[in-house]
Amino acid sequence: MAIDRYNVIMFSYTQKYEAILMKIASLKKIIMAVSIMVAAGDASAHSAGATIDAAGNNASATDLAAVICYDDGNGAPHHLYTQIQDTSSPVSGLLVSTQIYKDSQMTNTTDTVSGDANYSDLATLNGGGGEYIISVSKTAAGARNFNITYHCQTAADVHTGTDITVFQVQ
Amino acid sequence: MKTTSLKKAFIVAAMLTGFGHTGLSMAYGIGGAVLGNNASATDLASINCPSGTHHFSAAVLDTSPPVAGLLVSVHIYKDTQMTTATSTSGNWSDIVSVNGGAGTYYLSIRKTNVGARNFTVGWDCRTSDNISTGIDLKVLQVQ
Repeated sequence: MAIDRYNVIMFSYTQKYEAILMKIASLKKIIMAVSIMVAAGDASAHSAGATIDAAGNNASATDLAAVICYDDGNGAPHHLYTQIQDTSSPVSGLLVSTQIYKDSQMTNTTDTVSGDANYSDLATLNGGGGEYIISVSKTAAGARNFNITYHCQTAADVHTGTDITVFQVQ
Repeated sequence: MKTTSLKKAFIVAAMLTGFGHTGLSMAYGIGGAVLGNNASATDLASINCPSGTHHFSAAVLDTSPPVAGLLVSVHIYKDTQMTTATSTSGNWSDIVSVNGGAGTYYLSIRKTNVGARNFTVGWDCRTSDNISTGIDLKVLQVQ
């Protein structure tokens, strides 16, 4: 009896430990992806991939970051756009979206077909330069793998300065 | 016109005495509006929670007939935190909260695809003992 209880406790700890490790791995993936792109100086490829709700039990899981749009010499920022791709297999009622918020404006877009090769439509917010808030969320509990792209652009759609700071990984 | 309607809806609804969510007390502000046909349509409001506030809570109810793949969600954002909940099968979403203390919270309603949706939203600033501290809301964007 005592051994059974011990096994249950150990199993529970193992599950929690694995969930923590998965979350750390997801965060590292985001940071590494962003870092690699910054280091490479690839101004046209701001994208990252991660897993949201790795434990599969948090319907309110939300990943959150700030994107700073600035003039890197290519011109003054006019807008930020994002796209999201849900790369997990389709589950009815479980959809992944991205939102952009700045000042008194907000917009969003959803990948309506999970697991295919296509990204969502663009979500674009015309907020000029400065800090935009971008987030990734979903509509129900369940782990989802996703890719997200984010680009600051001038009014002429020329890529300009884009930096990201991750606030929250769930 | 739509902004006026939403403001009226929020003001009138804030005076309602109950709205059928067993988890939400009568202290909650309540409002309703229509999200437009555009897939990216988003309604946005700010709430200034006064001193003594520990968290801000909200829930949403999609009151339109169900359409596969067309779901309505509420988001709460403050500083470096955001959370969300989704109304499914004609039921209120879970109540979600951000523990951000006093200050300005942002409340948004959005959906996952093309198609207009009617919704009702409830919100409240609360102490750590779940006592309401305020529901004053300013509508920023109606789409």
